[in-house]
Amino acid sequence: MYQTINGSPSRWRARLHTITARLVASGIAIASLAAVLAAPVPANAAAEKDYGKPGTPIDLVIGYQPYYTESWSGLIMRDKKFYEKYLPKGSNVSFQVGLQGAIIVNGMLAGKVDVGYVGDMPGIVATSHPDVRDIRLVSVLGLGYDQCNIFLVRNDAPQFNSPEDAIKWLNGKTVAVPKGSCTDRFAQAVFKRFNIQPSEYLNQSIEVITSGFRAGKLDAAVIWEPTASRIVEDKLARRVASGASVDERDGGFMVMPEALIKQRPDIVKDWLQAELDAELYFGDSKNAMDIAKMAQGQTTGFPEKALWTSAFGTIPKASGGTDTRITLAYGFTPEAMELIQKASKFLVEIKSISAEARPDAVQPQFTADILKARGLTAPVGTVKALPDSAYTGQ
Amino acid sequence: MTEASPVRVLNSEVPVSMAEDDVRGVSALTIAIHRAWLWLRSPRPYLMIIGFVLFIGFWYLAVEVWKLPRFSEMPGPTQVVREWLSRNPTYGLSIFTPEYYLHIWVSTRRVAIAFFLATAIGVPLGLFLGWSERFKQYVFPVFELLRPIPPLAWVPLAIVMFRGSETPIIFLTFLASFYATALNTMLGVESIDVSYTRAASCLGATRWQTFRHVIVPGAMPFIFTGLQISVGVAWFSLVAGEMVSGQYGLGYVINTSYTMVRYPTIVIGMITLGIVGYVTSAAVRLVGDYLMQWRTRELALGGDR
Amino acid sequence: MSLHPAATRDYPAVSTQPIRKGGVRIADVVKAYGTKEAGILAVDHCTFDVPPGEITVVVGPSGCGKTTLLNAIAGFHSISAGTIHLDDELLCGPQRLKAPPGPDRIVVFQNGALFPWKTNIENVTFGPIMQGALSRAEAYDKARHMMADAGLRGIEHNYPGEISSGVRRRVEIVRALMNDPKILLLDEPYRALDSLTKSVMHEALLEIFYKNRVTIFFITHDLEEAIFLGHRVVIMTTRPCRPKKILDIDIPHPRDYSVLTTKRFRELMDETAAAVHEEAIKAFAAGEKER
Repeated sequence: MYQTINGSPSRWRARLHTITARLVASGIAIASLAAVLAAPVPANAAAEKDYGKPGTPIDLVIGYQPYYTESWSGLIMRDKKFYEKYLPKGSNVSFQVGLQGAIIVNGMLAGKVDVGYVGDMPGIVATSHPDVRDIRLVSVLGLGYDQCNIFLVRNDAPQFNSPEDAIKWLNGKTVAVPKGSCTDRFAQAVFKRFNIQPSEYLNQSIEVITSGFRAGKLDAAVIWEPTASRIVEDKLARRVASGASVDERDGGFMVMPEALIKQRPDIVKDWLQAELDAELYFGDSKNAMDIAKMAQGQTTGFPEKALWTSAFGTIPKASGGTDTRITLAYGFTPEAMELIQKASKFLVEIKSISAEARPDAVQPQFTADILKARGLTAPVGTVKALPDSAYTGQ
Repeated sequence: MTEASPVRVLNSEVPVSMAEDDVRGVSALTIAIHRAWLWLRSPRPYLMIIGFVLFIGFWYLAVEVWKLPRFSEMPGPTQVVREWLSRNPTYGLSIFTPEYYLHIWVSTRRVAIAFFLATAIGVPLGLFLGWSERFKQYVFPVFELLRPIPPLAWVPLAIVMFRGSETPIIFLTFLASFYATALNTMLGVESIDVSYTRAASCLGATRWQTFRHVIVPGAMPFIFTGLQISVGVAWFSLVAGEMVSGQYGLGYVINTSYTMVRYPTIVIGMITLGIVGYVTSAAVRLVGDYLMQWRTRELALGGDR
Repeated sequence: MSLHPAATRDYPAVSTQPIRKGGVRIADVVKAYGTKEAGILAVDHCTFDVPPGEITVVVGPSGCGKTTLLNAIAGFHSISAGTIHLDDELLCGPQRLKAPPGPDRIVVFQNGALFPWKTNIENVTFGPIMQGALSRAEAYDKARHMMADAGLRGIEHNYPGEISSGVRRRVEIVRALMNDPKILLLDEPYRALDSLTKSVMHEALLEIFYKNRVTIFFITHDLEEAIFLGHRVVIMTTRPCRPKKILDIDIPHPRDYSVLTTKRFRELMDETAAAVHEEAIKAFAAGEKER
């Protein structure tokens, strides 16, 4: 066949030369690229944002989660604007809704968000990328047992004698969770502890989980408040266990970039003063209905009752309910530190982060100073479970 | 009764082609090897390599050396390549981890099923849309109304309509693929020169025979263009579809790496998606070349395109 | 008289075949597009005969409506009025404005319509196999012989894309002849060829004609081609077309290229050139578009 391709032997040789030359040229190009890539590269931090001189007005972008009850101090802050009392005149504060902590963390790592209200897992993950942006934990929004750590099962699942039985039932079942969230960490920790292997462990957003229960496709899901209350309120699933059943805490944290802390400690202090006001407001049972109304104004698709229940409702102990729904720690109490260390260790084990949280990831001094100045101690309050009669909405 | 004709035109053997290389009576495999050899001889493969080197070089410079404004927060090629080729990757995914190949297999399987379904339904539908004006009047308006709806918008309905978790994903992947195939097939039929159908009817073919012998092979080039596009959009839609189920697959890797803040893994997922997508597209092209020998030979005669 | 003394054939020598029928009578045909008020009249009361067993060439400027006539005979277009008969059968008329296409009237198209996705021999055997007139083996056998007769031996299993366009035309003609058509309709088949190839094609066509004696209805705008090939030349006016002049070419058959330089040929050219040129100018002035 090949004799029909034109060419005497000398033409063949000429062609081979061209091919060889080209191969060599490409080889050199690839080799030099590989050498450059293989050479060790110093860690490069992103260009720091300039927050201006202390005392000057500032523009802040707050990433917060109205769809995460444990962090509702942010929601209250948006409505009551406590920060106006403290920040320099002329400052602009804009609030951005994040549907999940991870989204806010990504925004902070990209330098687009200045203050974040996130759950424990995203909070710790945020501190573990110093090569992209150095982020620190500056305050504890709240600690709880059934704010993140809630197991829901489909309605037609068998009735369980105890929460442990319910958890054991999950072996070989289809479980969904939004990965990267506080619920993910909780679910994986519990599965490990009880030696449970679900047949499918799916990463689904809260909407997909809701439709999944509706369509009867999920056996169980681990989801945070207030979505858990909404799903239960809509009779799509029922609660069977929580962190209280297995003594696993959950927590919400406020995160800020180190650049902001270093450049504008005055702003950090101002904001944390406002945060204290917000947490005190949250902890006063008299404000329950007002808070529920605020929440309704800042969310869509949630009945007011579900929102109220997520923070103030009384849930049967058998399903994992607690009397104290949220402990408003504000400062880094021993319990908060324990949670951070335990969670961080676990996250390294499951390869979510490359190394445990650095000791300086936590910056307790601001909250400590403010508490001292105001004569208060951490925790500054609690959000108690109220009887159903306390709900006066429609 | 005619006299001896002085015309001697028809005595001579027919000159088959004016091309240099004589490909008369040669098998399909030989043609393929010949074309591959032509490609290797040309500057193309080397320019391709240089192209990639330049692209990766720019990425490296922009992110790690010059640290350009919006580029500095991206993962650079060093980080990505190290993670990808590491025996013990930080975030659990590299070419040495078995999960990596599981993800590739799961995604490829989904795309393959969706693609074959889209072809099996889209090609006949497209053929009929092009062939029968009446059918087109009934069906095409609905088709065109549904076509612009992106797969992402179908997610809630898909979850509700289909049982299990694989089927909704395959459905979402199937959608865009199906539209591309059906539309291109229809255009393929419409692009067939009317002379061919007229010639067929002159020669006594029935409508059905014309459909089988003229319309279907005549539309093939367009059909295969459509199939190459279709396999590409199947890969796009897969990423949207895998949000629905969320346990394995390259789309899952990309989505989850976002919420888990694992940037290098996102890029690994993207690169893998690109490579696998390219391979499947090339596979479709090869099948097309084999099935349409008449075109391949024409192109082989004329040198590479 | 055999052109291929070395070729063996099972079919009888062509010269003993009776002349086939295939005469077409076009009577008062009108073809109008669009409405009465805002329409185009393509053919206006056109009347002439196509004698059986002969080559009739229709010459006219582009866009004058000659292809419309051909399409009407073939059955691709309808007529608005008048009648067309094939032998004594009505093809189309006031009751039936469109004839059904069929293998008794086969068209060879301007840009060629060999199916590119079939090999040459698959193309050639297409007609008889589709109609069920011959079995596959018989059809292939006949095809091989006819292709050999036309000097197309050796390219049976190639695709049309692999052969030159002149050769493709010949294959197309053989494809048509496989079906024993009464009349062969050629719509400017050599228009796209260069003039050198064209002259060879003309001779080849004549050779085929002498062997098969099928009626040929040939459309062209090339007057020289018309006079060289035809027994009868019909010169059409510009749109709307009707016969302006009908000539019987009295140059004896069989003809070859040497005919082009004879005195009689030049005389005929002179006679007709003026008429054709006149119509060409009218067409140009009216801004006729190439269809």
